[in-house]
Amino acid sequence: MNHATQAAVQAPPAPLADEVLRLEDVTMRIAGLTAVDSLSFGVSAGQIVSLIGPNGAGKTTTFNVISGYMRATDGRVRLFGEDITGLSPDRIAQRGLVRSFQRTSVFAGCTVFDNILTGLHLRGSVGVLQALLRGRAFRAEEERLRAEAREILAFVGLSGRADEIASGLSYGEQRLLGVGLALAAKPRVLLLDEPAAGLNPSETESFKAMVRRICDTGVTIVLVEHDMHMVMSISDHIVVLNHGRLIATGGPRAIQQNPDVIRAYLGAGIDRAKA
Amino acid sequence: MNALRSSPLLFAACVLALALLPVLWPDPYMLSVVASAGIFIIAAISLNLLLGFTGQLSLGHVAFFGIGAYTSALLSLGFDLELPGLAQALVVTPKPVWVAFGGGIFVAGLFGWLIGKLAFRVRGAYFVIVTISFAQVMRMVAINWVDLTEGPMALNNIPPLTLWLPGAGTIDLVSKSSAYWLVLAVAVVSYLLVAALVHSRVGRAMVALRENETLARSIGVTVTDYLRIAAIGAAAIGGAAGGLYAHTVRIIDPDVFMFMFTITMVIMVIVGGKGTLAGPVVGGLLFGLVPELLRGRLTPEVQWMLYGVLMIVILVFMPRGIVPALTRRRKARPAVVQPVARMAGDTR
Repeated sequence: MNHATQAAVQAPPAPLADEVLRLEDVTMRIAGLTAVDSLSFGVSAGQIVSLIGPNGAGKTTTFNVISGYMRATDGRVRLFGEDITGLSPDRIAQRGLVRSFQRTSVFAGCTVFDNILTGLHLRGSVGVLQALLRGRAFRAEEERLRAEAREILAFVGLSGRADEIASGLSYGEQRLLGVGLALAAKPRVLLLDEPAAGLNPSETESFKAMVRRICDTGVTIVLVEHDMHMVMSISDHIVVLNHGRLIATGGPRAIQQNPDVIRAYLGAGIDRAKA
Repeated sequence: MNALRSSPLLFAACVLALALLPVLWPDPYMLSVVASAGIFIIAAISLNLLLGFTGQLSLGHVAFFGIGAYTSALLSLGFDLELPGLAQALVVTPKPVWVAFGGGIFVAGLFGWLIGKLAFRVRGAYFVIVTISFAQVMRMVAINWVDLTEGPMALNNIPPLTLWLPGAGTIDLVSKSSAYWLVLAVAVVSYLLVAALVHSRVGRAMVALRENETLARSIGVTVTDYLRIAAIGAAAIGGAAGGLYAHTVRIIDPDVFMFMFTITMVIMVIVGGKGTLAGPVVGGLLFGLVPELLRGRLTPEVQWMLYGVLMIVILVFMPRGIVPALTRRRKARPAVVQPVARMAGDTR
């Protein structure tokens, strides 16, 4: 993780050798509104990158474009060098980029264990015929998936809740389950959309620790977050958006002192012409 | 939720009890009533795959039932068809009944694939409308394509299904008890097929679509693939139910496409508990047998009102259906030991 941190200090234009995700002039217009305006940035492998900006800056739209839920009006998205612009979310997930959602998003009517088991979809390969015949390969795979599901539940700290119905979990636990679901798809790049929203301070702390642990397993993380404490303490690299445009990138310290960023958060729109 | 998964013994006991019914209570009238309820239960099991597990409300499910019935009947009777562009009439000689029955399942599955391809571009209310229209079109075809279907004159003298026994040779399954066992066998096979499919990676993907399609896509579930699998499976099993109907009743007319039959199936699934394996069976037994029990005691008008009241009462007190309500009560007791017990049960 540390070598990657250093790489991020370099100037952005030269594509980094270990870059996993790159946006090239991505523009997204929604009914006349330009939600994202020729946005370009790259994400290096093994980092925790935060995407921040005031409300309406285009952060979630950017996530939607990257993960395939929206088709960019213009520009390209590359994942591990491959052009994934316009691919459907499931195809992008199959290529190793998985996202979580802003609102709690779980399979509400299923048990916690079944949620994770379902999330392991991409880790299995059983088709209809094998499911009907229930042969040895089928049973071996089920056994493997169940073991993996138990591991993931232990990782996110929900082992004790395995048999609860997901809708019965507390809000914070549902967020953990959401992350567990995303992890189950074995992402190499994980997008988390406001994961700490609505969590209390102690929950946020343990959430931060979990994000770090995920990163330590070699997963690159891109985060949209409003909790500045969390963003500043956890990020290797920060990308700041305002009105759909990139206004600054850099390490947490540099971003905190960047006048454009301060203006975007504190000042009125008058000074925007400068930026 | 999965009442019968945790207890294969209970399942085996139920099947055994049902199999012994003709021996213990050989009343031909009662057997034929249970057998015809059984045919609808098979259709309800197939509808449950689509409605209960993927969450797509198909109000045209009777179309697959009817297609299975007509295909199987026509193949076993043989037919000739004059098609524009063909110099000679296409003559299909009568096929062995089981070949015809398989043909019915196949053609119904094919239509399931086709409808899946067309209809899953739209969801929700539009999907419902497409499926209703499809069933109505099929009914119109059955009424008006008299050359093929005999229209309202009906196809009759449909041969019964046969069974080859060592020693006894080939026997026609015409007696009430043999028809009953036949229906029971097909029902058990259908139930097990759906159970196997549902308790697998494929079934979990279907449930994921029902619960949260957006989230399902994010974890890599290809939506249309799994909807199509469900549609083909539901249509094929529905076709098998239709084939059974054709070969046991042995006369079919365009009324097999009646909208009322779809409604009956939907009620069976919803009252029993959609998305549960036992739901369609319980709902089917209830709504298949109660009318017969009440016959003669109440006038039909009163009966219909009674079913309506019965359904409303059940859904008010058990909004998710009978089976989920019962299993929840059973589950409420052992809460602590569950994780271990459950995993042990699962890895069978």
